[in-house]
Amino acid sequence: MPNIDTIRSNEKVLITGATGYVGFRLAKALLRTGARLVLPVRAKDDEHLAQRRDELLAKLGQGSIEVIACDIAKPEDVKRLPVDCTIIIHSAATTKFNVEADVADRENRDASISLFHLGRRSKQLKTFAYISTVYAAGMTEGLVPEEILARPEGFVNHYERSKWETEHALNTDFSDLPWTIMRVATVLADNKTGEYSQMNAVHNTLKLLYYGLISTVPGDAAVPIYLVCGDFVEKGILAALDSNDRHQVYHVCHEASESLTVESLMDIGYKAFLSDESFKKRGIQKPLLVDLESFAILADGISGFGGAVLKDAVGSMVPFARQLFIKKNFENTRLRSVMPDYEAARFNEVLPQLINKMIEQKWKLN
Amino acid sequence: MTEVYLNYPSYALGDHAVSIEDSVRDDRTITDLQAFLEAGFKQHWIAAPGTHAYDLAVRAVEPIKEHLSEVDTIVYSTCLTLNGNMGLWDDFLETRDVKHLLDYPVSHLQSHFGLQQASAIGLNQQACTSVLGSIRIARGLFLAEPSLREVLCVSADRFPEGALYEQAFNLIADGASAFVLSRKPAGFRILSTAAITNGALARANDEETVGTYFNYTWKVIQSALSNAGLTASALNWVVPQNTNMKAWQILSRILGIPFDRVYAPSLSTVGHIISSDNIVNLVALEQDERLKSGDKILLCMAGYGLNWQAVIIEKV
Repeated sequence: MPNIDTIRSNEKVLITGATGYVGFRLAKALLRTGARLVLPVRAKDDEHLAQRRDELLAKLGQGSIEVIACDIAKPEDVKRLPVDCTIIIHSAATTKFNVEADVADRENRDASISLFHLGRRSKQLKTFAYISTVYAAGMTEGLVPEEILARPEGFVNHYERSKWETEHALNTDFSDLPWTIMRVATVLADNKTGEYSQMNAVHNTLKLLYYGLISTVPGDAAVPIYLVCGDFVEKGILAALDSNDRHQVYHVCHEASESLTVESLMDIGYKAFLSDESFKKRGIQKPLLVDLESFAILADGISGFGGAVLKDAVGSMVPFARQLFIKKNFENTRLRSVMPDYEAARFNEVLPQLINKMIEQKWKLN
Repeated sequence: MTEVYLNYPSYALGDHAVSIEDSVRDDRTITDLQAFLEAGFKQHWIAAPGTHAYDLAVRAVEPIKEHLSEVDTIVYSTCLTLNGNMGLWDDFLETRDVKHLLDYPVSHLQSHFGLQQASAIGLNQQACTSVLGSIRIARGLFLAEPSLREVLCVSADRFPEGALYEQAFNLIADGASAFVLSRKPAGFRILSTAAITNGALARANDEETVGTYFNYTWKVIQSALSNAGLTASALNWVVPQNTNMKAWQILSRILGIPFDRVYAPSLSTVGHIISSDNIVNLVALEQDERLKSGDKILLCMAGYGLNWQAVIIEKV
């Protein structure tokens, strides 16, 4: 929740990705503080635009909202966006770990650069908030500071690469912009009660384990998994926005000591599965942790192992498997400094609650 | 301490060797040719029309018939329950007399080889793991009956004519195996057995079967190792079933056993003889000069039911 003392009735805020998870949360929170919103959305035609506008307005509630047809991957579309916004929050991105190189380049990096140019044209702009990811650190091991990062030795997938390249472009070519970078961790649940309104690679992997479709998981037992709750992300980003301290990087995540590890995530998740009678009855065993080479053999030979479901199951893990072997230690001192009430969720409690809800909802979104 | 030994392993294959290319072409399979080749399969053996699984059993026992004089019990196992009956369904339908469903091959086998002193046990609900199940059952008999001298274990299966010769993405072969368990210290000493059944997955589809393969196989192996008082590092050989070898590339890494110690030379030329792979590969290992006295060998199988079984033996 944003600080209730922060009134933003004078702010005109452009938010990309408002139909996505983080963008929507930010739009809703900012609307409550009186901000006027400009929300670009993809639309095939006027009818489609009207439909998406109605959907967004219904979910966002009352307030000043302007929904504009715009594919931010098309520079000519971006040029038509208003240039009188005081804040731009760029949260739109293709977040699939298996995104192809050219799609990541076009939709993540190049689209962002178009928006940076929009920011440059916006003379009243006070803040350009770029919503990045902790995975922009790529295959960096050890301490990851809240700073612009030198190019990592490698990236596990093109999503990571495109996010780092975007950060790099922002820092090197748009230093005149009042930018702030927020690197967000993987959202596990909406809040500490385990409610969820989006599913990502973590949820999909848990689902496969629940149905007994994978009995091996790649990973080093001790590697931390950086998870966050949606309400923490919202609060952290708004706190960073309110700090008015520009050209800074914030890690919207918790520290390693506050995070689950690959092993504890498996242990807690499996224990939660066992509280479900159906799962218990099927006798599904806890998955075995395997090294990267074993997982590569499985992924490489999957056509001889199984059918479409198994191929999809293993295939969904391939694009991020390597990260489960890289120990990172994300610093979040700067974020803590702007969040006096910073508090890490107890994921050993959130995860079972999330799993119970996903089982109740048959692994679907409400 | 009652020591039990496995000796005289023998086997027989279906009548005809058929290339994987021919079987894919003739619709005996579902998976595409390339996937089979990558899994290591090149050909399999198919019984001729009219050849019963029992005929294959007789052929498997024939080479070792000189060693059966002290057999007190026969454990006859099949993967497919229908291979545990020689009567005809049509005869039952015509007469409504269930005796046509009670025509047991083990009785015929006993008579054929003149083993009148041997009692019979049928075992037919453990799928591919049956042959290891027969070792477990027979070993238990040795422990329970001090007068028991030797047990003949036989496993025989053929797929019904017209059946797909593929299960859980593996190329199936018709065949049979046999061996003798004895108190005489020869062949291989049985160190331990272990078995797991998960009946909740009795109707698991192929995806679920493969999905549960690794952790259950690992679990049954750990159980067998524990029962033998061993760790995986003590194993000199792994003699698995003839299924996709990539699975064992992974399992051997998990267990810490060099993959070159996973011994399944018959995979490419024989296929997956549903319950007899271990024995076919063990015969090959017996002839391999690298096998030394004292070597410890893990036999491991997974099958429908779902069942997982493992046996650890030691070369005498």
